[in-house]
Amino acid sequence: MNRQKKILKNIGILLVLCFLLSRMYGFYLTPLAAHESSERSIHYGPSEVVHIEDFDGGKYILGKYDKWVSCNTVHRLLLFFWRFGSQPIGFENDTTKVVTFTWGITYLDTFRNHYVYGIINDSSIQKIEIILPDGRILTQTEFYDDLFLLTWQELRNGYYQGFSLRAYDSESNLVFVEDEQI
Amino acid sequence: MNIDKGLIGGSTFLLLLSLLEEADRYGYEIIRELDKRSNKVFQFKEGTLYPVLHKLENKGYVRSYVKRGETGKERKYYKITEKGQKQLVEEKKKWELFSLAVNRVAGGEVHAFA
Amino acid sequence: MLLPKKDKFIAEVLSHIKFPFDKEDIKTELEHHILDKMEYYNEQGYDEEEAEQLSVHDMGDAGEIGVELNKQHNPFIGWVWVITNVLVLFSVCVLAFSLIPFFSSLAGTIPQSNIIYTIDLDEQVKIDDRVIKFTHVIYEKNGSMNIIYEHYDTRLWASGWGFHDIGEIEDNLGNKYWVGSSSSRGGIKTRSIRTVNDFSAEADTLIIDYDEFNRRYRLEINLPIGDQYE
Repeated sequence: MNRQKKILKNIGILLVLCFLLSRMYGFYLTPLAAHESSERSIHYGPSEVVHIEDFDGGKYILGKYDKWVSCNTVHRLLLFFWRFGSQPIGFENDTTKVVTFTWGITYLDTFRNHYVYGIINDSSIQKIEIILPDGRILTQTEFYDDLFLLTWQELRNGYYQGFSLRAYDSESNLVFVEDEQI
Repeated sequence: MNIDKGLIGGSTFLLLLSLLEEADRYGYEIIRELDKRSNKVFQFKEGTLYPVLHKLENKGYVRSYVKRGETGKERKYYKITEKGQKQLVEEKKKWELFSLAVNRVAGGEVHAFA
Repeated sequence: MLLPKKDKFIAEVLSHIKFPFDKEDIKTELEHHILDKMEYYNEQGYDEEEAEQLSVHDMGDAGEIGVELNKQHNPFIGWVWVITNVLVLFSVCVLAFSLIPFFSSLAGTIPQSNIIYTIDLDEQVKIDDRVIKFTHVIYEKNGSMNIIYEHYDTRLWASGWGFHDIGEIEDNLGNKYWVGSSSSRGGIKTRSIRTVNDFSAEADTLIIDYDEFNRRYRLEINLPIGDQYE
């Protein structure tokens, strides 16, 4: 066998090995493939994907499955690949509350991404607002179906602070308030 | 008569592949065989054999392996491949055409081929 | 036996070869040729030095041969070959290393003297791509009930989240058991043990009930009660 053939054989072996290793280490070619595999392997879903949003190093995948609401994360890896992030499992919607929500954090080298997501059970709600103790206010008025997702960044080693989540109706009346500690 | 042109002429592949078709051989063995059979007509610098053998290997006509020969010494043997066998058939055809043409031009025994 | 002319000839040839990994092979091949030829001259009655001189002369011009050989030993192809070899070796090592956990043994084995009874099971359930096979139930003197099971993914070589929660552990008397521990070992096929504390000696059925996110299974395992094993 001459050298070119040996190289071809090596490349063939490498492709097979790369496939096996990527399966073992959970590398996926698309964010949704990573997301779907993440849900299935933890025995949740498949959820209906309602919204996908980028963050540094990954994506939030907001979805609904039966009575649960989830915001899974997937992470970018080596430019071309995607792998599991955290929180594939959703929380159960409490329909007795006008808003049901939860929060999560993903960590990067120097930052951490905070995200708050939830479901609106009262169609009169037109605005969701998050107030951080340092004065920052995040708002969302365009919802994804009845889901919302608000995100912000902190320095990785920064102080952990809670937040206050408020919901308003079309006349800007405060309909719902809940304070969260982190 | 000596034809001292190095082992680069058009019939080199034909000669080497023919010898390797009979048996696996190492470089020195090939030289000895060529000497013996051609009655030293093909005399050339022996070292020039190796670039040609390595070229045959790169083209996939032969492959090499190391084996302890009859003398008990380790030698690098060359073995003709399937691709080499096919090439040998081609080379033989080419050679026949060539010698036929030479004979015709030289006005030799054309009738022998007719 | 010093053969300076032979060495000089070979060194000259090799000086033209740009791909380092092929030099040794070429050196050996040419050396053997010259030595064979010297043997021939020796037989003809030449002394060592004359034989060397003649043999090297018969080889031809070292520079020309070196240049021609170098053309057949393309350094680019050579390096690609070396690099892909290294990559293959590296990947095989990573793969082998990843498989090590597969060969480790079951965590948390129970000393024979603590065991009241062992029940062999052959119950298999499947959720999504995961097959869970319950193999043993072991009841201990201190009241611990151990459920031993194996699980694996039916997708080839797949990775995913671990599997830790086999479901709620109950008995036929209506007791639910929360307190306990679990541990797992293994790679492709994981062997696990789930232990609950203070399992009722009166109960005659152990119930494993999984009901999460619309995946369900329920196992009822008959247990020997008091007088049957004492």
